[in-house]
Amino acid sequence: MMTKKKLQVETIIITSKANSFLNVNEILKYRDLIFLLVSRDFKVFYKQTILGPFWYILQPLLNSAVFTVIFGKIASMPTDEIPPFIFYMSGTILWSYFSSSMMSISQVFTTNKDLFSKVYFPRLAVPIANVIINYLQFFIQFVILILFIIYFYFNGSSFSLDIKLLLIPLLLLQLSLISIGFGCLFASITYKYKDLALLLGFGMQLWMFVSPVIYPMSMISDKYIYFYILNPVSSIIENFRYVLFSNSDFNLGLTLLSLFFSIIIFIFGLYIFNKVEKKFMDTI
Amino acid sequence: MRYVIEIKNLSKEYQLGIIGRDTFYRDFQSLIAKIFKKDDPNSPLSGTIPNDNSNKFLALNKINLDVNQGDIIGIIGKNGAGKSTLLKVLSRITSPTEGSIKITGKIASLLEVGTGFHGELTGRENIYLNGAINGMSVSSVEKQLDNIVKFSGILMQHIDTPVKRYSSGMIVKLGFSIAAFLDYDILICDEVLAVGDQEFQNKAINKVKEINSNSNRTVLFVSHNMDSILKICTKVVIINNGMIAHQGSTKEMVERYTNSRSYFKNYYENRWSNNSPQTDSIKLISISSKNNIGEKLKDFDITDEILIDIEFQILKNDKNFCTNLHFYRNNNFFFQTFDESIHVEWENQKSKNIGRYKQTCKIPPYTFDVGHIDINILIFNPPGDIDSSNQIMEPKGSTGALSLEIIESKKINHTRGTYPFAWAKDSLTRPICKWITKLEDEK
Repeated sequence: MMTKKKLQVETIIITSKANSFLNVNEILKYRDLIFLLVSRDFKVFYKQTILGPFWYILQPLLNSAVFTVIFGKIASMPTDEIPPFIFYMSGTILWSYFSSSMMSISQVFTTNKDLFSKVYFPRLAVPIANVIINYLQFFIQFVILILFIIYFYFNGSSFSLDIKLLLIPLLLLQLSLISIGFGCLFASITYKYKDLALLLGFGMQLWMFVSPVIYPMSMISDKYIYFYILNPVSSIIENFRYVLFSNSDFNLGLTLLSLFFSIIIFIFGLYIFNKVEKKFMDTI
Repeated sequence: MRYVIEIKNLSKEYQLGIIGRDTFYRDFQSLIAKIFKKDDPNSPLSGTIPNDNSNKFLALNKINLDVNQGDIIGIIGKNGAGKSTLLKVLSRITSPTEGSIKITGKIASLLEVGTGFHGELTGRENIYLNGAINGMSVSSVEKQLDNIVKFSGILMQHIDTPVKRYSSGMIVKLGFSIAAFLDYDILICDEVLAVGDQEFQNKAINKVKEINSNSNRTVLFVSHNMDSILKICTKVVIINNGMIAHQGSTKEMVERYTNSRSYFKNYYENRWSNNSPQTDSIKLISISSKNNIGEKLKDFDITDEILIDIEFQILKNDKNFCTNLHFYRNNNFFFQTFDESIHVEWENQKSKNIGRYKQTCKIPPYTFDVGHIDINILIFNPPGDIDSSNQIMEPKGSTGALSLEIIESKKINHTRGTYPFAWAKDSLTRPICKWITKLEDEK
């Protein structure tokens, strides 16, 4: 076996101090691993299931149908003149993207401890792979949403899908920053305090109700609006609907604030994650 | 030659006892108590945990080690000596408490075979995934795929079957094969060459040798299997209690490690200072070995007389004592005792008064056959004495208050010393016996 002479020799220095918290070069080096982790999770998810990828479609459809009946018909909550089914579906798929990436990232240490205790790779590869696999899920659901919008369009509702659609990836990216930030933060706590994982499941449900998933922001009185400013997810959902339906005015202030909070959360989460990943093997 | 691994003053500390408590609630409670300077409601009964080193444990204690490029280093030591911790720190799974390591080159670690295998994925998918976990790109795995499959001995038609259908042997073989073809400069492996059947083990050992000699890669290798250490390592490090006890040539280190359980003591003398074994009436001070001209030694020619000196302090007047030496070979095999008073009647023994005594046991030449011997010491009062239930047994529960090495004579050419082949069976003792052969019938 011949090996090529390497021009560059890697040098690693191991000390008790943590590395710089976001080593982009190292993560790029492991991009094939991220890709393979995504494809592993995708394949494993469907092996030995009856419905396969239909699970991704079924879940938002059922959710939206139930919301339409309960909140739309029974409680008669306003939907900014958007057909209720579409309104709820748009909120649901975005929220389920956020919530499922949060949940999987927050358990990254517990689910991967066997792997983490035997081999080194940048631990952040796993949260990134989690985010990407959820992109796939979102993409499938988004296509279904578009199909429904087209269906409703031909049935008399008015929609104006335009160039703004190109902003959706940016919104998703912002949502991923929050889910990586919060997810990593929770992962760094739940590996030690296992009961917090239960709290998180419950907390995500509560969070959904304080985010404009099943109601529009226009319904919120000015008294509570400050509370929504603190919740960075609300602006993302609102902007997502703005991009799709142009139902309200674009709120630049809220967007910038939300962007600011997202970045703060992302940096803080990574900082804690990086501190913990070095020593979690000794305490798990 | 340059160092590819430089370890400087490396320490790793673990906390003993309960780590991390059990719930966030209790940690939070403790934190609040600390802020308001109240007693911690979750502290042990004795109060606050003393902030000393009593609940700390040093798994690695100031390790210094330089590794040359192309070395195959064997790391040996007892369970819990710190070998695996060292490998974990080297492969960046856990970080050190103090000190630093500088590694030049790409490092791959194989602490367990088949880490990251997923049962639902096929063999082929797992090869790619496992390669990527170890930092290999898809394209470089692709190049090696045929080699990996061929080396693992798995049939090509099985490679697209989920690994949950594989036998456990197939999984470990595949796991090792992936690692063997990884693209790295330094390989760290923990007892992984002992996987698979005998045939595969030999293949694995040859493969490690081959990648070392062909591309001058460095290998660090932990094992309890001295055969494989002897086969592949160029250098051996003995780790004991988190410290590097010795390092040197493979053969010498393996001999040291396997021969002597008490290796880490001073060979020819064991002197107790503070915690000397004692009863109400006697205290042991030292035990040592020397030859008949008074040189303190550990290695004895088989033709030498061996003198064992025992020093003790008697603490009560008018006391009788018996000293016994127990001899062990081959890790704990008891084969001989020498009893001071076995040839004397109890009532004829002389009693001793308070004072410091030195007792010497002279062992005649040709008593023991060549090889390593561990000696334990037992001192007791004869039956009938009020203290007779007390006795000194040193060490308790293991062997080797003192160790000897009996070597083949360099002074006389025995048949055994000049016999060109290995002696079939080692014996324990070798007294000079009289052999009388008479011709009885000429037919």
